Amino acid sequence: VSTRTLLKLALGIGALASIATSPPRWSASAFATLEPSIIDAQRPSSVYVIHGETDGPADGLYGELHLRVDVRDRSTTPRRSSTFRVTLTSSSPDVTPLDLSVSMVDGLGTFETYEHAWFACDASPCVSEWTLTLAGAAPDDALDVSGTAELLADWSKDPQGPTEVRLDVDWIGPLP
Amino acid sequence: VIASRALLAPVALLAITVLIVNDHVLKGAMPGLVTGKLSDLAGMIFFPLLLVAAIEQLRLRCTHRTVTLAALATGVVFAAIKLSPLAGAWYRSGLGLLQWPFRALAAVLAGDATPALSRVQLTADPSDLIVLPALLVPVLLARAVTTTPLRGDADRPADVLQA
Repeated sequence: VSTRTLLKLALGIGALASIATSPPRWSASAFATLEPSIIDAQRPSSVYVIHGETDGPADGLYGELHLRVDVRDRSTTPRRSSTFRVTLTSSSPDVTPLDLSVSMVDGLGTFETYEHAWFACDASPCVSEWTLTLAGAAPDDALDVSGTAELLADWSKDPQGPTEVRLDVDWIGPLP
Repeated sequence: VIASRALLAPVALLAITVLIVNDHVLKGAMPGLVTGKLSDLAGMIFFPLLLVAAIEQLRLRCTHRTVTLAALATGVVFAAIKLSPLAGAWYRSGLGLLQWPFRALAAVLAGDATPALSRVQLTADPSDLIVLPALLVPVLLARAVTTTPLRGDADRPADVLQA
């Protein structure tokens, strides 16, 4: 075998070994939009229930919810800086609830988060549920709310894992 | 053809063999600390040489400094993948894209549906950076090749490789 052939073999095998060094993780995702809503003196909060499901359990199943909320001040002369309040709770006791104030600049504010989904799943379907509550900082705030949600299922070793991710976002109005 | 000669050194060929055996046999049989680091270590040893040897195949002139630069680049990219979620995501998607034609071909040959693009698995463990000093190996190999005189026609890979 000539040195040139050996080199071509080494290059080919080395390149293929480098490409095949990490096994694939299979994934599926679903996308939903948040129904636009209004926060004002009559409706001081806006509550969404986010329900995600996938088939399972699969080997190494991992899930992630990507949530984005856009808030716009409805007043004709928006305050230069303000805040809105976000709380996000999960059906899983392993997920720490979020409760925070988000800054708005020139009447616009965005809240974005990534949350783990289906921490524990022993039987199909794997279900995760979150409750998202948005409110103004002051009782007379008037805000437009919109946003998107994306739920990802990601798993290893089993190409025949989840075939579908289902995601529903329901607006259930202001806090009762 | 410094990198091409260095890539055929026993230590570089051994590193390629270790990567293949570890990824496809040992990791499954004995998952743990050693097998988790072994592929990274092997990659540090041969990947810069592979990169420069591929450039040399394009008839571009490379010196041992090119190998040093390739080693540095390998280290920077490896560290970014292990430390930055964004770089990790790019790596997972990029390698998934490179693997897809092979998975698609395998699916077609097996009569299965064409697989979807998928990201690869990545263990973002900062302690994997412990293998970075192994980048000295390709640099030293390239230097050794540079300073080793070629002997006899049969042992002159440079001539053969440039043929």
